[in-house]
Amino acid sequence: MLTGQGFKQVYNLKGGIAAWQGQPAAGPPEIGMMLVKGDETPQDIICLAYGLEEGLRKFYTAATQMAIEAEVIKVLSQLAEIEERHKQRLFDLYKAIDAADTTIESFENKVNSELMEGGFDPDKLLESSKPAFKNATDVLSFAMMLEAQGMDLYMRYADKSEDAQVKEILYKMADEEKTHLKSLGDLFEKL
Amino acid sequence: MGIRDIFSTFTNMDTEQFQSFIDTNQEGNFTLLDVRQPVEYEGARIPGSQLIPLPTLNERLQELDPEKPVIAY
Repeated sequence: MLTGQGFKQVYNLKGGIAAWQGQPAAGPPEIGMMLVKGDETPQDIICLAYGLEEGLRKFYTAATQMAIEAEVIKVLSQLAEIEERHKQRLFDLYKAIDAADTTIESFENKVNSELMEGGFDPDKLLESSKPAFKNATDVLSFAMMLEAQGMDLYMRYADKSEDAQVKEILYKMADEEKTHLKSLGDLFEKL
Repeated sequence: MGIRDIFSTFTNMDTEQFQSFIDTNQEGNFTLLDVRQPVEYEGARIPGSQLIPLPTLNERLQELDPEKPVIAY
């Protein structure tokens, strides 16, 4: 169907999702999308992404406090640092786009109010998930789930976004979450 | 027309080739197309997939970029 309609490269994933061994994402297409209408400015999307990155960072930081293998703690600490760098990059990008002289405090206030409005609460998610963490495998599985959901959400934001600059930011963020997913998967294999 | 007929002109990509493809290609430069039903998509999907159920694919082709490689499942 696609090849006859001018699509240049079309592939069929042999065996479909059943054959694929990676970490899936789940939930209806609109999950997390209540935060995005499609007409957001690049600044709005940066705020959302910043909030998601902060959620991930909090999770990784909290996970390092749990009694799990040293190698896993090392990777989780690295991931927490990477999310912190993502946040910094997002703030730099925000400042570059926003003509106003923004401080980190006013930026974070804007992020928090927008996330609360959208009903996203990373602290609650972490608290409700903690009892399920019995060992490194549980923590890594949860981390992979978060990264997969995060990546999936960025891609859906990108598809919905009408601004080319926003799309580019989101694709880049999705790409980095994909790399995280791969490193967590590699670690998981080693356990 | 069955699903086999629709995919008959596709090049098959096995899971190893697929993993290597997504590892080496930047997000946004290709389309992962989930042509299953919404309930299947909601249950589990490859992250970043775009849902266009097969029965609606023909009328929604304009949502896809023909210049980008498409990997369907």
